[in-house]
Amino acid sequence: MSHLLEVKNLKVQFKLDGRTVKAVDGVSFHVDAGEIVAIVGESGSGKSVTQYSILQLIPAPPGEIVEGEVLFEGTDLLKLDPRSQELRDVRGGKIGIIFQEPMTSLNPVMTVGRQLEESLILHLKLSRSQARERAIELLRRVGIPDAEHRVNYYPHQFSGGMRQRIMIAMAMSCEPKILIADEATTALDVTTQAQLLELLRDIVRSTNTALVLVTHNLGVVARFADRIYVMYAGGIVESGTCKDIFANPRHPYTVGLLRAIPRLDDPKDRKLVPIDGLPPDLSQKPTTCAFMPRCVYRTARCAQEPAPPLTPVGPGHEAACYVLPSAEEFSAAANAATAASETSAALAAPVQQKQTGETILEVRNLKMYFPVTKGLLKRKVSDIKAVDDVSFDIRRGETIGLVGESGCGKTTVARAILRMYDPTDGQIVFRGQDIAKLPKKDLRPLRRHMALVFQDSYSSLDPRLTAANIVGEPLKVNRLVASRAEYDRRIDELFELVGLRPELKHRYPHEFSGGQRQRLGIARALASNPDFIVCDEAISALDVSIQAQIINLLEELQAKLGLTYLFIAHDLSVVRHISDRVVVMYLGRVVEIADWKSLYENPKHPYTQALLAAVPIPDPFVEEQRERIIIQGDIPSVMNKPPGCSFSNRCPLATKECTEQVPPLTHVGDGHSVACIKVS
Amino acid sequence: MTTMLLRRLVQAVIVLFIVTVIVFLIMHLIPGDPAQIMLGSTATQEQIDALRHQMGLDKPLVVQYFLWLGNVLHGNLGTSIFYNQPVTQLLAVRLPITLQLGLYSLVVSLILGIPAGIIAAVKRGTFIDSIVIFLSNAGVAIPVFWLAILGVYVFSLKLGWLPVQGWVSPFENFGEGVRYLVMPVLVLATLPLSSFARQTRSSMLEVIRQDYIRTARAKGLKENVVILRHALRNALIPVITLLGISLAGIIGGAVLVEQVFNIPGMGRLLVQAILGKDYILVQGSVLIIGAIVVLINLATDIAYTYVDPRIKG
Amino acid sequence: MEMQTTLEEPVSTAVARPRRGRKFIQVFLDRKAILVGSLILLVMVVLAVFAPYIAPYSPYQQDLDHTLAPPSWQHLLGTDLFGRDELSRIIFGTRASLMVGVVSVAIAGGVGIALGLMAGYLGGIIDSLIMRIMDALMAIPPIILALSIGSALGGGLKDVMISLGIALIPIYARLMRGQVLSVREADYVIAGELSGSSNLRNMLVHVLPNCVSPLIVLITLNLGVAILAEAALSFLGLGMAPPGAAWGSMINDGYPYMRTNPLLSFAPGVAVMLVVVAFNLVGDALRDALDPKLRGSV
Ligand SMILES: Nc1ncnc2c1ncn2[C@@H]1O[C@H](COP(=O)(O)OP(=O)(O)O)[C@@H](O)[C@H]1O
Ligand code: SF4
Ligand code: SF4
Ligand SMILES: [Mg+2]
Repeated sequence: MSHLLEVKNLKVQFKLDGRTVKAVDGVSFHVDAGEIVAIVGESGSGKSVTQYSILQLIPAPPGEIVEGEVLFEGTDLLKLDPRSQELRDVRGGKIGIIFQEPMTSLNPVMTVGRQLEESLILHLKLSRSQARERAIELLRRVGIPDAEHRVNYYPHQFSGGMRQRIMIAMAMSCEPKILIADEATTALDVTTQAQLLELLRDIVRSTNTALVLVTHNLGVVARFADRIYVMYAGGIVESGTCKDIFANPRHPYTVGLLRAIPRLDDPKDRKLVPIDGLPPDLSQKPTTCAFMPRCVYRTARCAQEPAPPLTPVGPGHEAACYVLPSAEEFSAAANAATAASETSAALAAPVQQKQTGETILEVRNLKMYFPVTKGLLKRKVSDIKAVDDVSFDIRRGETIGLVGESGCGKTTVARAILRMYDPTDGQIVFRGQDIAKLPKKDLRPLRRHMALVFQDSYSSLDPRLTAANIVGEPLKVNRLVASRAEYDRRIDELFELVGLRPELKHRYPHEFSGGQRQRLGIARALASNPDFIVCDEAISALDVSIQAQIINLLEELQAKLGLTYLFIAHDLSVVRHISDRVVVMYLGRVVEIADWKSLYENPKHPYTQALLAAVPIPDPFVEEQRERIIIQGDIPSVMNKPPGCSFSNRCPLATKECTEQVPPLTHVGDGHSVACIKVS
Repeated sequence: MTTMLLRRLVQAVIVLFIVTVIVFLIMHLIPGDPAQIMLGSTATQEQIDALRHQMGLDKPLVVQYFLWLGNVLHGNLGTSIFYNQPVTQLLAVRLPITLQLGLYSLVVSLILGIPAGIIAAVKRGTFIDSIVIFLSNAGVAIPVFWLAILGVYVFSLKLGWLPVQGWVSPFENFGEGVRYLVMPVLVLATLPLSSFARQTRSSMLEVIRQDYIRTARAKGLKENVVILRHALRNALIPVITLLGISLAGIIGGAVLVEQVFNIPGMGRLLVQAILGKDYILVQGSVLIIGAIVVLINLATDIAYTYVDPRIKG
Repeated sequence: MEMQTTLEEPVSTAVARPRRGRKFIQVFLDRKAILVGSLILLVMVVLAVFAPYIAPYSPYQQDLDHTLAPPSWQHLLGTDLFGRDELSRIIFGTRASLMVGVVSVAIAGGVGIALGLMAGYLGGIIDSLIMRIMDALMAIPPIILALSIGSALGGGLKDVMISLGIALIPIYARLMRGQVLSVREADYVIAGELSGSSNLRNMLVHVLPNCVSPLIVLITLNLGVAILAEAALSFLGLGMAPPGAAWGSMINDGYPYMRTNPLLSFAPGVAVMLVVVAFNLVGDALRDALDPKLRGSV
């Protein structure tokens, strides 16, 4: 049987600085009409390059398709000249593609209407006015309200989610046979992501289009894919049906990935098993199994023989591994790993029954408004209420999770607490002292008791300082060490504490990997022995296997040093895993606070419920059973919150009363508070 | 958007006001007494004092400034010390010549520089690219007046194709006028042409790497459509910024080019006035030049909002 | 040790990457242009410093029997109206040229950077005031501005340096302000603040060093601009007093003898061009070498 698309032994490389990066190294896969195929792997594994090569869209030079075939409807697309009419007919006409970055993938100086019409005129040979009509119809189809007007808008006038809808409309406009979605929803919030994935599925199912879903998110894959290819270091290491891959994974890397991610339905005390180490540098890729340095099942054979080929391990299920551990072996190894960390059981135990002490931080009615100015004289006309009347407290030794979608005010809360902003109103009582109005110079001595771990480990480390100087800055400015020798000793100690070799301390930030840099950021935060650390999306930028390493590090440090965390993240599974209590925010207000168990098992606020429903679970069997309510619409901007309850324009339970007053955060028992008039 | 334009307008007025202060201050740095200079060394003290009084030079500097500013606002730029003619009259004859030179050069540099930059970027790393890079690097390093002399040597003295120097207005005698214009315009265009080519090339290279260009290619558009419809408009945004500065550069260059080609424009007049310490004439001319540059910058800002829709709102 | 589970990531990729300094030098030297540029500059500096030892004649020594002589073995580039050796005058001209370039850029850089720093850091009304003054200075073509100031001050070499210095201030102020604004918001500066650093320390340790790279590039490119402008001013008659040797005035002096002795005008022009090209080559290469994107961040 011939496939709709068949890629055979594709090899792509990039030549940079005299190095040759083998980005894609012998990849073969196929796609059949109407199916949803997922390509999964960590960043840099070659997923995107594989897809772009199909249409010869990689930048060349430095890129070069070295060999391989891409058979599509009987033609080898790689044989076509990239400028030829034949290839251009396929691009956009028969194969549509959606890119990851909604903010940059649309031309900023052209209206979205024109960008849509362009394809229609080109491939469907429509007239200008027909194209316009069709463009409006397409926009409506992907859920853009008021499409007749918005067709004349420029991309910057849309939110990220809206732009990605437009990209979908554009890619689907000429009714392609295949739609490639390269991390199409990765940059979006969970609720938007869920909406768009459903939309994509509905569209492809109704038109019998094949969908190639490129992603690093296993949850997305479990819910939507028919078949899965797992990529690692430029090659496919395992492929099979969705259920096979999740129920009976055979490649150690696939198993590693599944173990490394926290799940919404995990037992709380499950220890994440990170995959140690880093993926190989693709310019120095070994000829042996690329996963070997990180593999716990490796044998002598793995080290001697060339990289293992894909071999069948079941019907329609292949894996590239010599050992092919069985399910029993995997669980045995997992137990061993847990046992190994039993040595640190002394650590694990207090993690479970955490002793929380006195209140270390109390936030009372915190308001942070930013002025909106207008006119020639920049008169203040209104406020952006980024944080509006937020209260919660944190006890010593616990982890408070702060969740909510982008723009809801999480970071502003953190920055106000750390007094990077001057709060408009409210109190921030830290170690018994209200610091909300404290002048900057009186704050300085308090700084050593609180610290921040940033999201972007790269931009938060001064590129011109060595790792030692970065980590040592708090020691110096707060005069926490008496001598040079003590300083050096303390630096070494900090490096070891976060799992970095002290020898690395003379390097500059760009010489570290992402995970290592985040460790440096943590070491700097720990330097002044603070009691309280804010982690603002501290793991969001990292790959899943590295994420697990950092989460474990944070948990261990807490147990060892008795730290208190305010852990901000948009990934609800991670927050569930790490937090004792959770605060949910929506448009600048707290809508629900509870201990993790009540919040996740018995969410009361309609928004929390919707948020949790939108989180995909990396398990096709669970996903099948789950029923989901997907909330409609976009998050409004903080500037035009609906009156009364901010959620009222999207809430399935909303009634007229909801728009009349802002529901106060009300205690409903057991430390569980909810801001909804329908909950009591 | 209107607010933004209004704000830019107010800014332009403020800048223009500061320009007048600067011009005035510079001219009053001049050591020595303008009245003395005007009357020559044979004048008696009484004559000098009388003239000083007549010119208002015996008043405090601030008062002098506001008197001058008041006159300027009434369209009176004063009377040239050297020519003993109203500055406005002098400029009315010379300014159009310099403006023509500048305008033609600007047009030439845009229609040659931008395509050169596009081609170099699209054919990056090829022979054509190297040529463009080489020429544009040379173009920003050549002294204009020297290039003018070189041109005279080759095209006028050796080949005899073009006149050595002088000026004929193309409006009076088109053919002759063009013959006199060719060299000054080309010489004057060299620097802005090179900087437009460089800027277009580098911003084009930047734009070609953007995601939306990949989107355009993924649609199946022809490469020249991708470049001209999608890339160019984005790449031109930084080039527009360069327009204002280039114009100032062109006017500065005109001073030198007019000198070499003996063109009776404002540049020559200005050099004579500066070296001859005819401060009233200098004040007037520099003010007019400043005003032109400020206006062009304002126009550029407005053009900006049309090319880049993100600025509105 | 208790921290067993947080196994260290292998550092193989990091080891493979050259250290910062080496990477810089590598990118810098990768461009052959830079070698050419540096070499020209080196020669020019040597010529300027050792002019009396290198030049075959004194630049002032007149030989009224051999005026306007064509090139010969005695006078490689011929002699001028007063029979002075053209080559020697060009060699001595290097001095004025380089000196004006360096001093005026130092003035412009010093004042401009300070103003930009103030505007960017203090903001508000001071920022607006400084920047509007800079806009006004930029509205007057640099040549005309320098010519006016220079002539008002008296017109000597020193006045040329000052006037060019003033004319170039706005470029530095603008660049510096932009840099400060962007760097000040950088996460690593905020991190410094959160560590308890004082404002001053933050400025000195984090903000300033990270603003430096584009400034270095600008200074290099500006040296060429200043030298070009100096030549233009001396062509118009400003700068070094008559017997002194300056390239611009030599071009002007030679102009009337174009038909018979074209070298008198051309040769000094080539000298100007060489220096300016050299500074541009070095500047462009520095731009690439200092670009953090090119510094192997992977
Ligand atoms: N334009 C490019 N220039 C150089 N290297 C590239 C380019 N695009 C991708 N690569 C390299 O190819 C490899 C695979 O990248 P990619 O396919 O984007 O991974 P993924 O999509 O799985 O995250 C990476 O090592 C990356 O550095
Ligand atoms: S081949 Fe060996 S090293 Fe590679 S994944 Fe299988 S067991 Fe691990
Ligand atoms: S108050 Fe009303 S609108 Fe708000 S969450 Fe409750 S039910 Fe929904
Ligand atoms: Mg990718």
